[in-house]
Amino acid sequence: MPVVMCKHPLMMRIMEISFTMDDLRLYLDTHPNCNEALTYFDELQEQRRAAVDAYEAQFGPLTMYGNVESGCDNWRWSDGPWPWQNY
Amino acid sequence: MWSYEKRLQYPVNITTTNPKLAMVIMTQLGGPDGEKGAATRYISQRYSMPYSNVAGLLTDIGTEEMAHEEIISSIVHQLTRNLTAEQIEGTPFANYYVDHTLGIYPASATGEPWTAAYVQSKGDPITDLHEDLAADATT
Repeated sequence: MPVVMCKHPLMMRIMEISFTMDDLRLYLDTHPNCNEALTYFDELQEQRRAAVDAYEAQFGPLTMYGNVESGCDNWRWSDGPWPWQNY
Repeated sequence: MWSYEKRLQYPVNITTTNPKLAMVIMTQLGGPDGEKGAATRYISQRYSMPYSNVAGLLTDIGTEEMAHEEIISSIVHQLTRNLTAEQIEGTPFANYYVDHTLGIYPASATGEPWTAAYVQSKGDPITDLHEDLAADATT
């Protein structure tokens, strides 16, 4: 387990992309036909997928429906550190 | 259904404890205009919202408020982590510590427990949106 998972560059990247998507999502809820925002959301979605895949391959599942490799005999979801643990 | 992600929406990395500051920040979790109230407010109000896209917006905002609860809880946790009773004695965190030790309990800065009386859900979209403005527009 890395010393501080939340400081890993991959995690920082996921946080940045996701934060942008969070705001874009709220905007798109009331501006569903804005092409510029839709295109931007699409791009971010792709970037996020790549970053999450890379992160999960290294640190285990990020989401509760996340990647659990088939044939894997080690349950990693409940492994720490948890998001509030910066130690 | 909600889907948990094992990350904070925004990073929290506090290295120096501070029980006095923790008691002030706690109100942003469990005070009258805190994140717990915000999440409960939006998620409760969405059922009587007649416009689908606005019901979706309330869902997305309410979901984000839950992520904010986790951020604020993490701040308070890291500000008080491993403190001893001696380190807390004489600070504004002392009265909280008597009942909750270092557990995270949603309360205001004065120690009032979070209550659903902080939120309103009236079944009328205009009334509810005004409530949202009053509660959330300043924080």
